[in-house]
Amino acid sequence: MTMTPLIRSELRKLTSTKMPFAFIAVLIVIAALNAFAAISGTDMDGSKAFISTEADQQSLMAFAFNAFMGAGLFGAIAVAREYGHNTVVPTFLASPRRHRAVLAQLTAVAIGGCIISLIGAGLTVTTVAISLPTTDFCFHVSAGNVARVVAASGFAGAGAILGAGIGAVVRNVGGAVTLTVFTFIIAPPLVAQLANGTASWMPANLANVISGTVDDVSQPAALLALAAWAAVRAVVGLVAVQRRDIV
Amino acid sequence: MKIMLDLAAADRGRASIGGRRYRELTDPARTVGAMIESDAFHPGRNGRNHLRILADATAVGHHWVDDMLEQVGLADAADRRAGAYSLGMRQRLGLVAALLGEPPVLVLDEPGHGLDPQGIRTLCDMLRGHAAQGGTVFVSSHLLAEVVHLADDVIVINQGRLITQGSLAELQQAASLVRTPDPSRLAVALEQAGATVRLDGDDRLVVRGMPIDEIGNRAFATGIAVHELSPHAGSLEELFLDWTTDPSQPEETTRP
Repeated sequence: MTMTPLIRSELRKLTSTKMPFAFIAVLIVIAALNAFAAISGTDMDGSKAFISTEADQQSLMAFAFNAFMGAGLFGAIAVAREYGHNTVVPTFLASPRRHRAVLAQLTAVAIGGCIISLIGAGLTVTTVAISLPTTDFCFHVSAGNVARVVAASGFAGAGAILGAGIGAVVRNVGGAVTLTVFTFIIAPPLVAQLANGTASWMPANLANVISGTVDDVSQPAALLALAAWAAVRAVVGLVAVQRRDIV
Repeated sequence: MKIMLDLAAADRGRASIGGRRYRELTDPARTVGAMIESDAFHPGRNGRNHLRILADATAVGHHWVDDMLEQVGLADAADRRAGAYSLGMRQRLGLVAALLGEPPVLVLDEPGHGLDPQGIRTLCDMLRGHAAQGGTVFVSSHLLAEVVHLADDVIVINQGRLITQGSLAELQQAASLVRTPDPSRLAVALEQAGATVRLDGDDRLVVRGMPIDEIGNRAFATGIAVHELSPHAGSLEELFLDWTTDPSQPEETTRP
């Protein structure tokens, strides 16, 4: 049997609960906060210099790290809840060669994470674009850079895979969310302090690189590094699922 | 059951279905229908979507889902959240999930749990019908009355150890009643010879695992008078208690 039925099944799992809508609701809030920041926010000196140039506006819209982390949480919750609700049992009965089921799961969360992130990026760009004319500055970001910001968010599918890998290991929604947040927010600064030169390779910086707001790492290297972050967790999750009982 | 279905690893040994391990089956989900966890669904997902997800994974047409929901009386509740289902409805949802794709083998863990008497009757008829059409039904249950109505062959497992197996009819007949003035001494003699013995009143023993002739011979050899020796047909509950009673508990033992 091909993987297609398994992937279709996993996609239906994602779309048949309210979880994606909850994420989209959060994205709407984030986009609204961005718009509010553009309209009402000021620098320390009371000016609105933070939205004065194309680079500033692009930085405000750069959604890739938010997308990467959001997609990570999406993947972690989607997979961990499978164990919490025992819905993983029929999944592994349908596909006792578990690596196939896990690959289908990773594919589905990557697609889901990518779509949600693109929606988030689209909302952010739109709200910033709409709110800027209410200030003294117009929208300066070129179409190419807007496309880059949005496309960078699309790469958040890798973040969903990372989260799914964590979810497959932890098997508990609370634990998976905690570990995902730790991986994205708490661990990187600690690691960067302990090991010189690693700060550039942390997810937040890599996401900013592919969004075009930072350039201390090359684009291909940043993409590869983000993919590696996801792949390592996915492989750990895959191995854990293969070896552990479903109880 | 989880070992049979490759959900858990065995400490040793090998479980197979039709001579092959579950993961080696060509189309496992359409060969074996299983209900292992009766609550294996997301509470926020409706029953129809739960089944469609399984149908997608096993490449079964969605028309099956609607047909089966109708058959088990869940059609009206199909678009409600499964988390709001009663225990019996959840059980029926699990049964439908096991039956998707008409698998010839069914592996069901406590299928009657939570069903009302009519539901249990329907379940028994359904499973009996499946067996009559050449299918195999493997059921685990603590409801012995349910087993009596369902099972042809019985396997008794206690604390992970196989106690006995065989056809239900044979097992129910495979006991002897002994009436003797010295039941304690005879019980010891028979247990030493490997029989399972239960004291039944002041002067009677129910003996399993030993042919009736041998019981008579051993009583004679031990010099114990026997006033009655006859075949004894017991209820499944009585059999189960005989097989699973812990001999270390004084109130349950035949030893003085």
